[in-house]
Amino acid sequence: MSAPLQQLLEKGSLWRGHKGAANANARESLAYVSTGQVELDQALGGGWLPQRLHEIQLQQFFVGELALVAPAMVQATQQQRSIFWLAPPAQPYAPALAQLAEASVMAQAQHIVLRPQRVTDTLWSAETILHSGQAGVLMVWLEEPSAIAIRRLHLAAAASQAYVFVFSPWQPEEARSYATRLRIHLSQDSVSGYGQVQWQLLKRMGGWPLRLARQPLPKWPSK
Amino acid sequence: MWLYVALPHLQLERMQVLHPDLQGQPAVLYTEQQQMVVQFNQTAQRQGIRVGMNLADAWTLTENLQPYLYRESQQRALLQHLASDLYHAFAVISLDPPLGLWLDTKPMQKLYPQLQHSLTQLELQLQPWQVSYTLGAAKTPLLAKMLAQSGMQQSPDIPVDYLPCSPELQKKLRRMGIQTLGALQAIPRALAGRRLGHELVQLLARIQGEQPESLRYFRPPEWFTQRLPLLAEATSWQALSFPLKRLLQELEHFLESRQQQTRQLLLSFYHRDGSVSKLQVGLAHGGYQAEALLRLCQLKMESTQFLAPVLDIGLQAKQLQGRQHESRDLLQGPSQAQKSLAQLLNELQLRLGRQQVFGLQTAAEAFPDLSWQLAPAGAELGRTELIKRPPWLLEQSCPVDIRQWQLTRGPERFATPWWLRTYGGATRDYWQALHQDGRNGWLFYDYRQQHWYLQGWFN
Repeated sequence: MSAPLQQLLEKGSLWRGHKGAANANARESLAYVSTGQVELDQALGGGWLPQRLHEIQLQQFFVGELALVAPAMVQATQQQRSIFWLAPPAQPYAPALAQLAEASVMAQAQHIVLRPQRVTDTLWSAETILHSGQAGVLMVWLEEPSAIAIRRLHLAAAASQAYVFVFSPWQPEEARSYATRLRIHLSQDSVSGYGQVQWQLLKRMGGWPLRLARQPLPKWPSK
Repeated sequence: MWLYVALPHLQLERMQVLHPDLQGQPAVLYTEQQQMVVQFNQTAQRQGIRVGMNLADAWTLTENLQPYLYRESQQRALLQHLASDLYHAFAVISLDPPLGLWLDTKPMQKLYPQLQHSLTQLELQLQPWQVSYTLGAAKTPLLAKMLAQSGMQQSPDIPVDYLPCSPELQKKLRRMGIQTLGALQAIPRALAGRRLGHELVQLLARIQGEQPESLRYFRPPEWFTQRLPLLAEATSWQALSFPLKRLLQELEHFLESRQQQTRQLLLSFYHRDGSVSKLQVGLAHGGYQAEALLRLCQLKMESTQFLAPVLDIGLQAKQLQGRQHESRDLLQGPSQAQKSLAQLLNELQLRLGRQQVFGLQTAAEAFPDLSWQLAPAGAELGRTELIKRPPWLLEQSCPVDIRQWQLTRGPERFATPWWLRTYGGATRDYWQALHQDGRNGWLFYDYRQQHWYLQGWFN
């Protein structure tokens, strides 16, 4: 393989087609939902996938991670499924959630916030919610997601139709059964002082790990 | 036309259904006072056991006899329960505790023009009960009852023993050589009255329908209650889960036929020393399916300590209400859901506590702290006119050092009227601001406190 081709592969703008035609067909039928960010969508092959676990690692909260989930929330609402917030770091603010899309659609959204006292309860709730088949989006905030817990969540997610996101601080880079592991780096524009993020994909489907270029902080897509 | 359904072994047969192991063994129910057999199963019948037999005599007939105490109240409850099932098919029912009930087929004549239709319907309703019964059909309630009890086909063949009258009168009749009702009715009424007294005349009038019967008509009960004796003492929650499941299935049947759901279950565990421990299971979103209810009960049991061995369990369902149906679009295809949202929320709230699971709703207020509210889980979000609001709100706005922030957009001023209890008389300027680490916050300057606070985050 020539060196430029290899470079392109590693950059993620190209991937191998030897996965077979059947697989390619299967990929097309997958129900990707956009992250709201063009570069990230491209790197992920279309966006987030249902029935998979997506890990988002961040050093600080509130660096635009929620904006990446917003299109999935809209879709869940259109499909009349509930959106579950498990142990969020702050209070989701209803007026902003209601402004996400046309008022007539979002008015019917069901946001359910859970505040378990213990981690075991959090994991139990996540599994119960996924097994029920009621969730459109499940967001879980965990301090230290253990490999066993993640494995169990992964299995539960596979049995559901939900988009599942696990938010946690940076974790060691060992292999784990996530569909996607996204690490968010926060930095600053040296001139304006505005925040910038860099998305580092530790793991993704159909491609090598990848670091994308710096971006301004994604904005919550409301009016 | 009146139908009488005699259920001579109702209580025992229901026990057999709930405890299938009993079927192969001779089992009897006995009264506590007289130690007398009142109900028995087929195995016991084959051993020669009869109603009215002394319990000690029954023991001599078979060694492995399974005696259980007969409970009058339980018998009445069962009869009620049975009647409420029959109520689906028959409008006029009258209970005749302890052993039978009447059905009037006249009001149902449009629906079941022939007697045979009524009988088919009756059989259909009684089938799931798995009880043995005898039927009598006649013009008057009394006659129907006597036919059912005696097992005769024709009313003249009914032996005089089945006449509901005093023993003296029966003795007199037999001394006169009158063995059957037919023979009695052959005697001219005036003559019989002169020889045998007023009681007989009245009785004959009731039998022939000349004097109307005063019956109390059945109305279906408002709530569900059942008690089930266990075959052996249970010493752990696991041992209780099977009988409990059967009780819950009965409850499901009860609720299903009413299209209702329950919001509260009360489990009672009866111990040997007569004490009762109670367990209450609240269902904020209602439930009716046995399996879902069992799961909730198990969740509750797991967190409760098992106190003493249990002899009987009881189940009460309270706060019954109509079901809310989840409507679904036909075009969207079958739903993938394993359980309803209500069931899921019940489970979550039972384990995490009711306060820890809630929904979000917008409120028609502009002031940031008041423009949203906690709602019962499952509530819809609602609309808002507000724009440029952050997705995150801090639970408690926290004071910040303004030197770390750079104001980027604002101000937006809010002043609240003084009569509000929590936020009354506040004047605040809200700003979008850039923190020195690059994140966008939502700050406000409070004029009363004269300080800057962080209220939320924009990203």
